[in-house]
Amino acid sequence: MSPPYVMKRTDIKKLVEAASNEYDVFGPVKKRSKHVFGKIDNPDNLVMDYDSTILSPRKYFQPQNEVMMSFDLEENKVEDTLDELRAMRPRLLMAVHSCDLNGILHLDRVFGGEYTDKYYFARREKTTIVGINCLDSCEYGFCRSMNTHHVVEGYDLFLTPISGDRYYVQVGTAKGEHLVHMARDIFQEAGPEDFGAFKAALKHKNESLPHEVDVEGINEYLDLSFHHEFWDKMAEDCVNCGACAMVCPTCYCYDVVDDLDLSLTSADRTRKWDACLFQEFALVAGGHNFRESPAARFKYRFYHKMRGFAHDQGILGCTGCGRCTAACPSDISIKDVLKELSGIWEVAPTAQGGK
Amino acid sequence: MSKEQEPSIYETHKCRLLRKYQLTDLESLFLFRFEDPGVAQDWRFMPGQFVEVSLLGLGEVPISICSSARRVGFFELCIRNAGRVTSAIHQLQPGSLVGIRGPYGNGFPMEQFHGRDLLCVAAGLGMAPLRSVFLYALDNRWLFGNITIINSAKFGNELLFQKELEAMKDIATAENISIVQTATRDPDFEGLHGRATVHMDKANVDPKNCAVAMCGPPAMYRGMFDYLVEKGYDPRYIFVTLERRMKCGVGKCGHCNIGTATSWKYACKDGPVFDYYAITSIPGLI
Repeated sequence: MSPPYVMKRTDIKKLVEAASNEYDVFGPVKKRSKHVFGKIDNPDNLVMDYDSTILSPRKYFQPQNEVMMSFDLEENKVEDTLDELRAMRPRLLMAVHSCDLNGILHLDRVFGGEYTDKYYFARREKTTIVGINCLDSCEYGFCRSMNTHHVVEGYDLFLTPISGDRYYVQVGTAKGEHLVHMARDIFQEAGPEDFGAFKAALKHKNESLPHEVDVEGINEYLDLSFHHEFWDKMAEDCVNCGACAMVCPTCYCYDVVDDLDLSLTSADRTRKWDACLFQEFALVAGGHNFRESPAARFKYRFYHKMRGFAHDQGILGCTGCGRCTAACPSDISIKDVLKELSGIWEVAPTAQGGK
Repeated sequence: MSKEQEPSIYETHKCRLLRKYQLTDLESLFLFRFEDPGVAQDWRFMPGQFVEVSLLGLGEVPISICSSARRVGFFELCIRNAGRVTSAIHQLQPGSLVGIRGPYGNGFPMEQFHGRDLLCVAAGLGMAPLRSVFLYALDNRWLFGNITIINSAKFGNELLFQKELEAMKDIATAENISIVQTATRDPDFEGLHGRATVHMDKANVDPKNCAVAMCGPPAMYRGMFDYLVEKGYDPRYIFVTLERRMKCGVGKCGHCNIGTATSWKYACKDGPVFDYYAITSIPGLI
C-alpha cells in the first residue's frame, strides 16, 4: 500500500502542469455563476473548492453523443471507433467529489457485467481520477443521507483539505501512484501530526454534513406506496423535460441513432443520452406506449433510481448530489419527495397492488 | 484474446438474405444465412430469443427468431412492416447483406418443458416466436406429450403461418397434435371464430402436466391467466413473452426496463420470457 502524502494546496497547479505532459487535464472551471467540468488548459482556471457542477463527470465516460461505428455504405464496410478510443491520450480528471465518485462506481456496474461495454471502459481505463473530500455541505446535496459522503474506491488519488492550507493525499491505485511520481517533489510522506490533521478534518466533516433524509426502509415504503395518489400529485408539476436525467451522475439510458451523411454514402451509428421522462421512451413498434402518461414516467424514474438500482446492484441509485433539484424548472426537490414518501408510509400504507 | 482487443458488444455478424416470402399484407418471412463459416457453425439460439437486425445508416430493430433451432447457420425472422427500419428490410432483395447481433434474451426454458404436454397460444405477431417453440417440440417430438397450438388473429388473412399449420393437419391427429386457428373479428373467415380463450376447450392436453407458452397482447394474458389457473394448469409452467423496445439488447440502454415495486427487470436480458409469477406480481409488466 502506498503511503499517504501531504501537499500544499497551491501546488495543485504544479501537479496539473507536470501532468499536462502526459494527460489531457479536465476539472471544475467557472461558468458564469456556476461551475462545470471542462478542459484545463491553464492551471489557474482549475477550481478545487466548488459547490457542484451543472453536469456530472459522467460525460467523460459516456459522452452526450458518441459515435460507435462509421459505415461506408458503398463498400458495405463498418469501422468501429473502439481502436481510436483505445489510442486516445490519457486523461486526468481533477477534483471529483465523493458523490460523483460513487456515481462513477454505479456506471461501472451498469456498463460492466455479462455484456461489458468496451466504449465506456476504454474511456474509464484511460482516465486518472483525483477525488476531493467535501468537508462542508453544498446547496442542494444530501450525500450524507445517501451514504455517499465517503469513498473507499473509485479514485486514483483522494485529497482531503487539512490545516495549513494542505491536502492529505490518499493513493487508491497504481495510476494514482504514477501521478504522484510525475511531480514527486510536491508530495511529502504524511507523518503522525499530518494524520492528526486528517482526523480533525474528518471530524469537522462529520459534524458539518447534515443528515436530512432518512432512507432506512425505503424499499418497503416504495413497495407499499406504488399505487398511492401521492405520485399523481407530485407528477402534476413535472414537465417531463428530462433535465434531472441529463444532470444525474447515475442516469445512463441512451438511444442509438444512425445519422446518414448528406451524400448518402456514409453514416455514423451514434448513441445519445436519453431520458425515461421523454414521451417516446417506452414506445414500441405498432404504437403502444408502456408509459403513456407523464405521471407514469415521473414515477418510473423515481422507482428505477430508488428501487431498480437496489434490485440490480444492491445499492440505491441516488448519490445525493442534488443536481436534479438544482436543474428542475418546476422546483421539484428529490429531498422533498423522499421526505414526503417516508411520511405517507406512516399515514396511509396502501397494500401492494391494492388498487 | 485479451480484454483490450475484444470487439464491441455492438459488433454485428454479416448475414445474407436468401429468401423472402410474404405471409400477410404486412408480414414477410426472411431466411438468413451467416456469411462467416465459423460463426455459422457456432451460432445457436433457443426459442423465444431475439436478434438485433442492423441496416447500415438506418439503425437496428429487435426481432424474435421464428425458425427451428436445429438448422445450424440459418435462421428465419418474421418481420412486420411497421417502421423505418422494418420497411427498409421489406425492400431488401435476396442476396442483400444485413448485420445481426445476438441472440439475446432468456428464451423459453425448453428443457423444463420436456416430458410434458405443450400448449402454445399465439395472437397476431405472437405466432412468430411461438413457431420456434412449436418447431422445437416437433424436432424433439419424443420429449413431449400431446401438443396443441392455438393461433389467432383479428382477420383470417392476418393469421401468420396459417398455410403451414393447415398443411400439418393431415399428420397432426396421428401425432397427437391439435392445431386450432381462429379469427376474432372476421365473419367471412372460413374457419373458427372468436378469441383464443374461446377455443381453449379444444386444447388436447392434461392441465396438470402441461407447459404453456403464450405470446400476444397484454389483454390476452390477463384473460388467459385466470382461465388457466382455474382449469388447474400448473403456474410454474406458464410462460409468456413480452414486447418492449429492446434497443441495445444487452441490458444497458434502459428502454426495455420494466418493473416497479418489488422487482426490476430488463425485458432484453431477464426476459423477454417471463413466468406466471413474475407477470402477476410485478405491476406494469402487462
